Amino acid sequence: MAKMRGLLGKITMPFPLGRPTWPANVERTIPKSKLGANYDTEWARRYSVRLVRSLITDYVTKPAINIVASPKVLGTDRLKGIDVPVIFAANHASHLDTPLLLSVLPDDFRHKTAVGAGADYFFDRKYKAVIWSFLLGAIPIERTRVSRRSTDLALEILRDDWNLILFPEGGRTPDGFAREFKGGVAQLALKTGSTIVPVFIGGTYEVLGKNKKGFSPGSTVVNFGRPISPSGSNPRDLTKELQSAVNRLGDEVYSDYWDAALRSGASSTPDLADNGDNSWIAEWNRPRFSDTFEDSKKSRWPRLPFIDKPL
Amino acid sequence: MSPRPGFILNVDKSYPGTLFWHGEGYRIEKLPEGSSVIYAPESLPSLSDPLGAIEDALDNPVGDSDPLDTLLTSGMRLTIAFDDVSLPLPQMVSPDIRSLIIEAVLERAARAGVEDVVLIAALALHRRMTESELRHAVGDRVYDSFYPRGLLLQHDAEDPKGLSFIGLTPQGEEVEISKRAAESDLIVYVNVNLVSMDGGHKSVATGLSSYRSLRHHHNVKTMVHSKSFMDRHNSQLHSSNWRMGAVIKEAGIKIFQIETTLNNDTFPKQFEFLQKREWEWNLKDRAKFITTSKALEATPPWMARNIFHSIRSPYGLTGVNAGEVDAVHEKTLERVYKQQLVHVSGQSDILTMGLPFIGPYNVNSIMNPILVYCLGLGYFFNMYKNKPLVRKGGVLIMSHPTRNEFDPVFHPSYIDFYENVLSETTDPIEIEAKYEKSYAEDPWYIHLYRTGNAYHGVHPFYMWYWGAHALDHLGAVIILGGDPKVAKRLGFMAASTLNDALAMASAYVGTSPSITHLHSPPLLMAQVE
Repeated sequence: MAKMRGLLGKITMPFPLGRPTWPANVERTIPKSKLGANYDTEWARRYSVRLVRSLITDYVTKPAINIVASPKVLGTDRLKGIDVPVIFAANHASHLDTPLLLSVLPDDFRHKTAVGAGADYFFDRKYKAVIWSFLLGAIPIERTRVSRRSTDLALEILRDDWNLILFPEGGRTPDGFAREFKGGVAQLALKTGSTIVPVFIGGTYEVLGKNKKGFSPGSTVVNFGRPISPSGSNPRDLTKELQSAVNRLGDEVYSDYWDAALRSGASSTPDLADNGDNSWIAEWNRPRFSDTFEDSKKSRWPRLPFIDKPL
Repeated sequence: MSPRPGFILNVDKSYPGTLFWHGEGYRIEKLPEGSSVIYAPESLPSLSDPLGAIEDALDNPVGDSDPLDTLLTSGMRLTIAFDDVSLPLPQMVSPDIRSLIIEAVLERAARAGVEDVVLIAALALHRRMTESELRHAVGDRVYDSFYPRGLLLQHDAEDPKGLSFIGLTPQGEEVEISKRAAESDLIVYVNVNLVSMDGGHKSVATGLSSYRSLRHHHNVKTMVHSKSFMDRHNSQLHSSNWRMGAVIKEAGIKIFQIETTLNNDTFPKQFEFLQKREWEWNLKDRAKFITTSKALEATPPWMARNIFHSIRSPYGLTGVNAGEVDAVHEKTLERVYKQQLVHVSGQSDILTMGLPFIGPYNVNSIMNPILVYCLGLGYFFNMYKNKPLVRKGGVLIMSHPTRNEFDPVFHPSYIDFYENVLSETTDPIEIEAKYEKSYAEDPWYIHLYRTGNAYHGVHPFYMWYWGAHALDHLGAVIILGGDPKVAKRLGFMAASTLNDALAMASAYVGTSPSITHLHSPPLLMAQVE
């Protein structure tokens, strides 16, 4: 494009056909950026947009996720009968996490759920802001500093009975190990009284981790936890409780419910964030979802009958 | 608006007709003027926070019991027993209330460091549950954790090494229960109460016992003198179980009983009209009735059966109590009666009822003729307190196709019972004396019970005894719309229309009899004055 422009030279048209020049003695006011945390996503929650988005989620995103990530969904029974709105708080390892989670959410939640996305990354260009607001119902969240605008928007969304997906780590893990949860989710829940549903997502780092070029199709798992009521807690304790709950959900996936319960009872649940001070042994031992279930080892394609026959 | 209590409709000219279940279908019948139709109380509101109610019950037990947390200690042996697939009917929507309670108990056990935990489905002599049924009852998480390690068991009443003799009651009744349960430091029993017969000491003393123990109360004498077995304080079946419960307690076996009660929300939205009073059916209800009943008429029975058995009931939890068995059960009975009891004045000459596609013993299976008999004469007839809805010598008219169909996997001994026993006699006393032992001890039936999904060889006998009180009380039984040959084998008559059935009944109760119809669904219990 730049090359083309270079060939054609700069085409300028005289005013009024071209842009007016700004008089040098008039103070220039820089318009407030409408991007980043200031991007207005209200349009993406209109009924007509929601309708199109739900069709795309059900008929495009979901099949695509099934092909790329073969999700196994656990714990949806824990969501039965809970009052909306809720905050789904999950560990975060991949750009795949959001479409994966949206596509496996039970029907009661799926089509009225917004997603908290980094304002600096997903809303820094107009086209990106439009795409993510439209496709995922994303709302901009400031990750680097406490922003009143982000908080107010999230509060407004929850008060309008929209559910919210947030990743309390504030970004994707660079190494497959979880990171410490930030307090934003807890503060939001305490302000609105919304229930938090802890969610563990496994396997997405292997499919499309940070710094990976392209997909490595594989198996993933989403394990929904028992809802946490924020009442009578403070942000710090609630954040700790949330992180423990996600750790326990991960333990349930990598071992089983009863072992995880016993370890949780003995306060010895493995910490998903424990990377052993970046040791290679910790990386070596890091549980991978694809190692857990027998069915994930099965061929992704049906075996032809003659393959198993002796030659 | 608070739910309306039960109602008795006096049939007059303006009456629109009454819904009768008819196996895997239903129809509208017109009862003669002057008849009474008993309608169940409307569904009680369900608890808004079932999990909170469960936690509260475990923390605040009733009767002479400490809270569950104080009963759980590191290093102890804990057995969690739970009701099998015969409850509730139809199976409830997921998550099943049992799974919620079992998880709540397991969480506390894990916190207390209790590692030796075994779960047992309290089958008594019922068939073993299938994997999907077990998963539904305990939940996927618990199933996947416990079953592969052999810690989720189905009670085996024929395993000589797995049973423990506890003692004798003052009446000489032998008490024998699961060895694992008997040797545990604590048994937590998780119950679902659909009718007042369930729960109490019957949970452990029957659910975890053996034929040696069961025969003391599952017999003709006890059943004839259980008036009714739905009325715990006037039921010899329960008296025997309570005596056994006392023996278990004296032996030092600790039971923490958890009982739950459900409301009357038996069918999902598509079939909600079945539970409504007919004169309140709106256009939608009538359209649903017409389309579904016509469609079912044109559907082969096996397909209609599959459709109905796939229904999951949206039952709501009305209460949960935990603690000492007696105290818990009294609270449970209060709630069950609150939901189901209807006051009726006087008995009638004829009792009519429509029998549905499901009973406790044909979940995901065929309702064979013996189970039709048991459902009508055992369960529905006994849904009373004080005295039966029909007078002594009266007539019972029950509507069901009653086909000569059996499930050879679930009910193998039923087939032989029907062919070899009922062809000789239908007298429960003679059947008990002449045939019971051979069926109970038949090694093939025992093998199928222990390794397959078959009811125990003696089970059809118990079904027959279950109706012994009704047989003793009634003058005649007419199966409306039933197969005449099958009805004859059962010792009954068959009629193709209600008018024919009433005409046949006139030979026993005269030409102007009083008629009462027990309207179902949902379930109700009559307090007859």
